[in-house]
This record gives sequence, C-alpha cells and structure tokens, in this order.
Amino acid sequence: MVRDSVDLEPVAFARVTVSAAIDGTPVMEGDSDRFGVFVLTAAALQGEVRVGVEAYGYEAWVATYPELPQQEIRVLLHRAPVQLDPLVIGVGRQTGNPISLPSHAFVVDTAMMRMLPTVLETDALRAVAMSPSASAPSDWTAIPYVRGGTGAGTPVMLDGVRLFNPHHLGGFLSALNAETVGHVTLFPGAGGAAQRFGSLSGAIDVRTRDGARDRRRVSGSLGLASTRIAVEGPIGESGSFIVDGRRTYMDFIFTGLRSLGATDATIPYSFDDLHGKFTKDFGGVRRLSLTGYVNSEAFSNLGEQENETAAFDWGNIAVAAHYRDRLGTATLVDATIGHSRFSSDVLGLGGGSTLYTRVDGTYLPPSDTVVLGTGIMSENRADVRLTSYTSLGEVTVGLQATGFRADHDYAVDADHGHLPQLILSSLVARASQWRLSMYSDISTVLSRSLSSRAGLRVDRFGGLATTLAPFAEISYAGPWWRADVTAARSYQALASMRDEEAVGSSFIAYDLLAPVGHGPVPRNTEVSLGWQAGRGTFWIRLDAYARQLDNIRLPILGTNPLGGYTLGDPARREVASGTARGVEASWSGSWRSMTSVGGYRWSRVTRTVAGHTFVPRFHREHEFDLGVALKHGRSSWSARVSAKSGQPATPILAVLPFLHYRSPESLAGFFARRDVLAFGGTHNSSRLPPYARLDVGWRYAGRVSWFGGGSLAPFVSIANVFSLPNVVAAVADPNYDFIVWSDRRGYIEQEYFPQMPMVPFIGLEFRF
Amino acid sequence: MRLLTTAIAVAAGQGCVRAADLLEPPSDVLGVATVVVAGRSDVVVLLSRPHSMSDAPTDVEPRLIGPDWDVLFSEVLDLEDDCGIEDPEVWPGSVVCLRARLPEPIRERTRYTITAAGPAGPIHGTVVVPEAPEIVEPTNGTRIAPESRGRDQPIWVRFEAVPEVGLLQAEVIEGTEITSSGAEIPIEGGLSLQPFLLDLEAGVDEILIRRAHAPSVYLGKPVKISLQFLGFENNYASFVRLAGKYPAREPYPSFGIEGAFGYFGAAAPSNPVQVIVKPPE
Repeated sequence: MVRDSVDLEPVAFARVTVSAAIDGTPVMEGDSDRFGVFVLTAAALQGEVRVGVEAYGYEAWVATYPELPQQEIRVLLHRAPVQLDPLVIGVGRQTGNPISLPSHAFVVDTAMMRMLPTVLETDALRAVAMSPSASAPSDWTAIPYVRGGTGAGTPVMLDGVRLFNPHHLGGFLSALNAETVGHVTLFPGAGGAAQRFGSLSGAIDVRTRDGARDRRRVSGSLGLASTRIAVEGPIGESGSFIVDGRRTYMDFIFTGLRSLGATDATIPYSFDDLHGKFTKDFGGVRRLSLTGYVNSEAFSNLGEQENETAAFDWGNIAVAAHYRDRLGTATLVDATIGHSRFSSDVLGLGGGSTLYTRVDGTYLPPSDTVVLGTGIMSENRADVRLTSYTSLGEVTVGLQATGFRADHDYAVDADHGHLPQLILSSLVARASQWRLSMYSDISTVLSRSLSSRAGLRVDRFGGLATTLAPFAEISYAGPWWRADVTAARSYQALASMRDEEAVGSSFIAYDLLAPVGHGPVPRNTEVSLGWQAGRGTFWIRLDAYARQLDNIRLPILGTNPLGGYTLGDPARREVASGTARGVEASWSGSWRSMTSVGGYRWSRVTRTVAGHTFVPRFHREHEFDLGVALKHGRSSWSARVSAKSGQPATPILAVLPFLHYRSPESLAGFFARRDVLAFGGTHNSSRLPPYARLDVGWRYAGRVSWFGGGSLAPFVSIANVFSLPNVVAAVADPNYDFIVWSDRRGYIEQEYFPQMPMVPFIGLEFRF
Repeated sequence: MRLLTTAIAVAAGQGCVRAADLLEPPSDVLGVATVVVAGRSDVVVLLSRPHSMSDAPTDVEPRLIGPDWDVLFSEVLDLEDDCGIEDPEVWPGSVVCLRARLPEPIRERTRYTITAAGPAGPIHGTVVVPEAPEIVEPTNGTRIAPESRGRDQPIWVRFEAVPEVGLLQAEVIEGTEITSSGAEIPIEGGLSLQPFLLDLEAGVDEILIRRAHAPSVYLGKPVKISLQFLGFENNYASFVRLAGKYPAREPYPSFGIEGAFGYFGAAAPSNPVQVIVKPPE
C-alpha cells in the first residue's frame, strides 16, 4: 500500500516495479489503484527481490527482501521537488498530467484544475473538457459530451454512486467542491475499466480524497459567487474525515445592495452543497469509506413586480459506502452500495402586467399558473467486485444491481406555452426499472510486448431484455510507446428528456432521466485504435474511433427545432440512431517551469430520427485546446486557448414578414398583428462562425504562519480576454428599430446568441 | 507585457457580443401574401422583397383567375392606409400593395387561381374558398350580464365549421353604446378580444372582450357587440401556425403557392351575431 508520508493519503497511480535483486531483471510492474494498492503475484517471484515505488512528485522508494513478504508492504513516499529528468520513463501517472497513464483514461487532478485559468471557480468538470474526447456544448455549461454522445450516456459517478445534475448556475459551475476532489477520470469508451459503468458513452468518475491523516486541516476558497470550505483530519489512529461545503452569496449581496438603495436589481437565486467522507482502515488493504453528498438550488421571484414570476428548487442527495477487503493473498474485494436522488419543484405564474408601472401605471400581479410540477429520479446501486492477481494476469469478476425510479410530472398551461423562459413542456414520466449485471474481464500478458484484455458484461434489464456486452483489447508495448486496438459494446436503458436541438440546451445543463418503457435497449458499438508515447514528462496520445449508437431515444425534430423545449415529453421520443467517428490527439508535458496540456479533435457526428439524418447542434468538427502554465517564483501564470469550428445551424432561405388577415370592419384597432415566418433549409446544414477564445490567469502561492502555518493562493483570471464575440446560435429577425438614426431599419438581420464575453474573476484559495 | 495589457484593453472595449449580420438568403426572395374572402368583390395582395431595400416587386404582374374571369392586380394602394402596415418605413425590404377589383363577389366552395411572373419563373397558386362557419351560440340579440370582476367581458361561444376550415378567427365588427334615447354611439378606442383564434376542435370557446382605456366593457349604458368568425382554409392556416416557429423546417406544408414564398389563402365569414351587455332587469 502506497501512501503520502505527510498526510497519509493513499497515492494512486504510483508505478510499482518488482525485480530480481541479483541482476535487476524486472519481474512485474504496474500502477497502484485509487486506494494506493498494488498486489504482487508471489508465483512469479523466486529468491531475493527488490521492490521499487515511484510516483511523480515523490522521492523514489526501494527496498530489498530475501523473498517476497507475504504480508502487506506499507510504502510511505516522501514528497520531493519535481525532477524533470527526461531520462526517467514511466514513473506512473504524473501530477497535472492527464494522459500519463497507459490506458484510455483522461485523469484530472487538483494540480491540473489549478493549472488552467479559473472560470469563476476552480472546476473539475471544466478541466475534463480539455480532453479531446469531451466537448462542452457551450461556454455556459461545464458538463461535457463524450465522443458524439450526450450527457445522459456519460454518468457522473461520485465515489461509486451516480450523481444527478452535478451543477449550479444552470450548468456554468459544477457542483463538485475542488477541495475534496482527488481526481476525476474521464473514460471515453465503454470497454476496459469503463465496463463496470454499463453506459453508452463512457463515464466521468469522481474520486474524493480520504482526508488528511496527520492533523486537522482547513482549506477553501473565497470567490465572486460563493465560498467553499473543507475541514479534514484524522479520526483516531486509523481513520480520517473530510467535510466540505459551499454556499453562494449572490442573493445576499443583491438583497443588501437593494436595501441600501444602490440597485433595483435582484438575484433571487441561491445554491449550496455539502459533502462528507469518513474513512476507516482496518489494517492492510481493509478499509471502509462512507460518502454523503447533498446539494440544492433555489430561485424565487414571486414577490417581484413581474409579468411572469416563478419559484423553483431542486437538488440531489447521494450516499455511498465502500468496503475493501482481501480474499487470500492476491484477491481484492470491493463492495459498494449507494443511493442517489434528485428532486425538483417548479411553480411558474403568468398573466400579469407591468405596463406603465414606471409612470404610475397599475401593476397587475400574475393570475395564471404557467407551469406546476414536481419530479424525482433516484437510483440504488450495489456492486461487488473481485479482482484477482494471478500469474496469468488480472481477473475481475463483478456483480451489480441497480434500481432506477423516475416520477416526473410537470404541467404547462397551453396559453403560456410560448414563453421563451419555459425550459420544459408538459411531461409525465413514471417508471421504475431494475438492472442486474454480471461482468468480468481478464488482462493477460501474451508476450514481453503483447498483452490483451477482454471482458463480457451480461445485463438483465427488468421487464425489457437481457443483453451481452463484450469488449476486447490488444496492446503492444514498445520501448517508449504503446499501441492498442479496442472493440466494445455497451447498453443502457436510461433515456434523457433533453432536446439537444433546442437552443436552451446550450444554456441549461439539467437533465431528467427515465427508463425506456419498451425495447429495444439503447446500444453502443465502438472500435478504437490508439497510440501513446511518453518520454520523460512529455506524453502524446493519438486515437481514432468509430461508434454506432442504436435504439437511442431522441425527440422528433418537429416544426420548431431551435425553439423547442430543453426538456420535453418522453412520449415524443422516437427510437433513433447515431454515428460518430473521429481522430483525437492529446499531449501533455513539462519543460523547466512550464507545463502544457492540449488536445485536438476532428470528428463527424450524426443523428437519425424518423428517417431524417442530421448533425446535432452541439457538435463541432474541429476542436483545439491548449493550456499552458508558467511558474515563476511563487507566481504561476496560465493561459488556455480554444479554437473550434462553428456549430451547425439551419440556413435561412427567406424571412417573410406578414400581417394576420383581419376584416376591414374589424375593431381590433391597436392589436394589428404583425408576424414573421422564417423558412429554414435543411436542418443544421450550415455553420455558425468559428469559435476562438483565450483565457489568462495568475495565481500566487503564498505562505503564512497563521493557524500554525498554511498557504494563501489569490488568483485572478480573465475569460475570453480579447472579448471575441463567439456565438452559440443565430436567429434571423427583421429590424423594426424605430430609432431614426439606425442604418439597419427595415433590414432582416441575423442576430446571435452569445457565448461568454470577457469576464474577469478573482478569488482566494487557502489551506491551513 | 505592457503591449499585451494594451491589446487586451483595446479588444475588450470593442464589445463582447457579435453584431447582427444582414441575412443574405441564397436566392432572390419574392413574397406573395393574399387572402380571398367570400362575399368580397376585391382582393388585396402584398408583394415583397423582404431582403432587398431597393428593388420593389412592381414587375411581377399578379393575376387572379376566377370561375370565368381573370383580373390583374393593378391598383396600387397606400401601405399604411389601405394595407394595414402601420410603419411602412421599418417594414422589412421593399413592399408593394395591390388591389384587384373583381367582376363578382368571391364565392364559397369555389376554386381560385393566382399567377405571376417571379424572379425564378412563373408563380402559380390555387385555393378553394371554404364554406362559412356558423355561430350557434350566442344567438342574435342575446343579453349578457356585465362582468363585475375585471376588465374583460367574457362571452361563451359555440360554433360549427366544415372540416376544410383550418383556422377560425374571431372578430368584433361593431361595438356601440346605447343611450337612454336609443341612439347607438360607437365605442371610443374600439374593442379588442382574445383569443383571436378559437379552439376549432372543441367547437366551444370563451371570448374575452376588452374596451380600450376603460376598467370594464359596461360603464352604465348597454353595449351592443357584433361578433363575426372568419373560417380560413389550410393554406393560410398552415402559414399562421408555423409563424413564430424558428425556423420552419423543410418539408413545409402547402401554403397554396409555388414559385414564391408566402401564401394564397381563402376565408369565409360567419353570420354576424349581436349581443347586448346589460344587467338583468
């Protein structure tokens, strides 16, 4: 077991090498898992052995044994200044280096999160979008889509349990506290380590830290929108805890300013989240951890003098327990149970009038109910997994049971259904479904350079079908590079109510899920080819992939795709399909005091609904991201450059203004109705202007002696520093501008929905 | 660093939202919008080039063809006074409003044809005027108690329309106050009503009448209101239904015209019904 010598936190991804002491012949090597555990296979060892452990940012650890000890070896790694020695190859995953693992995963740790310019707050999911496999649908949402899939196909897992809608501010901010996240792993495919998720488009696996074991520590952040704080420390000799929370104060600030008469504006919105984790070690690899998470958001302007007012609140809770033990000398048992629940309540009123209220007119409060509803979705999960380390290789067998329940019931009044601020339509979805799964995979070394991994997952979807989802992977390892080819299939019976063609989907990340009520089960089939090389601290990975999505549920395009509801009635879903293929390149590396992470992706994505094939609106063919951080003394400067091709848009063939017919005798008078019809061409067959953005940031790592010593890290960042006018959608509309000096009066213009303008952010992170 | 700081400051001052572009459609756009109404002896057509400010569509020579006649839309009307365009200076593109005087009133259940010379070839359209809808309730002369709780005077209506009617529009065509001497004085500012479009499928609806600049319709004197419903066939109905949807997606339903953007619609007015708003005696 590998731990940090200061806070005794497990060190994941440390490279463990076992060799014959007499001549240094390597016998086996591998990486510690997320609990810092690596199992040595006794059968492969004879005589005196040397065990070496190396991890980026730590001094190397070496010990020699007359023979391999049968009991656990406890390795305490001492922190060390990072030595950027290009001759050191394969020292396990490197801090802040997301692709330095010999797998398909993209790993974001706290170092990488802080390496990028901060957008409002240090954010794990925004950092995940640096992966070329992941694409955020807009600047406004932090949740990424993976390889042409949609959000519903990529679950966000927190310590083994699904987290619904893990965001705040409509999706601008993830609801994961950066202080508590150990690392976030993006699995872009369905095979290998992602098999256990049983999802269509990989997974985002969030692993929280155990908490410091040496002493009590406090860390947190003061930002423009909220304050986060985390307290962690030991419990007795063998336990630890970490409790962290966050609360916005935007509402308090504006309420205060309003009471002082400084502003009329109000932001009747708040969010908060609370997370706690308790870990107990029972000796050796035996450990138990309990995770609890709750977040909530609320908005209410019922007391405001508005035409339409609303009150809604939503939030989720998640609890998980994980127990690890061992069977015999070389089998680990991981058991996880968890429960997750999302609930929301919505009330919207309309029909009021604010006409002339600023000039002594009468305010008529809303009298109609526009939208009323409540909904929950919950998942219970139990997972038992055995991992055996044999002389033939690593064998994993798991049993998993999940139960999903959805009970969504929202009613929208037809008379007000046109209101643009309505993100959902009337919808009712009540369904429950259990899923029983057995999965297994075996990793085998076929020769010195060739290895394989193959697995099978069998799922029984209650009342629906039994499915078989195999995967196979063959890898070839050269002296400093590695190539692999993978084929995989996966199923999931959960479908989303999001309509990705609606413009609201670019601004709102929330999703409602429900089990598909009837077959066929949505299916993903994929094949990928990868090549990866590492020299010292420089890594590069190239991937080519193709995937086919079958039997997915998508809304029919209807007559008004762009203006559709973000969340729509599941009854309007069709059995649809999709394709995605692409080439990805990602790289990371360090040179002297500079660190860089980047990626480029080209891909083609299609959806076919009711016989109509189109490119989904969120998809961009080309995406390039580059993050660079430069450390100078205690300061670190960072920049992130993004360049992307334009999103699909529907070309406009003509816009025709017209007057509704009325009889000459009609007394409609001032209610003459002017209207317009925009004739769209082939759906999403043109492109919006390309996207480019530069974010810059500065962060200072200051030491203070307060509270026994700690650090203060003020940061300043500017998103979209050149204020480049990126867009997320366009709408053609006549310019009825009555301002006489407007030179566009009477022209039909194409107006744009903006991406994020230039916005500065400041904050202060601390740790004591 | 100073250069970078200056560049950032300058760039930031340039604005952060992409300015609107002029929409340039892939081809010349000619708009044709007209409705023939049963019982009327004239028809007005609105011709437009919505994406061109300089090239008014005066050369398309639209013609309306009836059962045994063929007339040219030859009379140029004033956009504001005759065609209902309240603000012609900001109406998109170039537009012209033409009238054709017919040798006979438009007939129900009769096919009409429109032709013109468009920029990309001939324009052709047909429409069949539907049978007139009927207001079943209220009947002529029905007395309705004034609404005391708000500005809107509700009137419950029941109607019948043939299946060819795709849209039913309610109109107030007369609104007068009856004085104690029996004289009828037009209501100042007029009356408006909601909803304009009635629930065809249900066959019943509630119309809310509102008097401009007044707290209620009934102000102490009986009010006479004449209602009329216009039944539109599906060329016009489909166009109106798609309006406001963005963008209308191909394939479009038929709007009754080919070779141009727009609609060739037809309507038939119902029997007018007069109701009296006055307290029960």
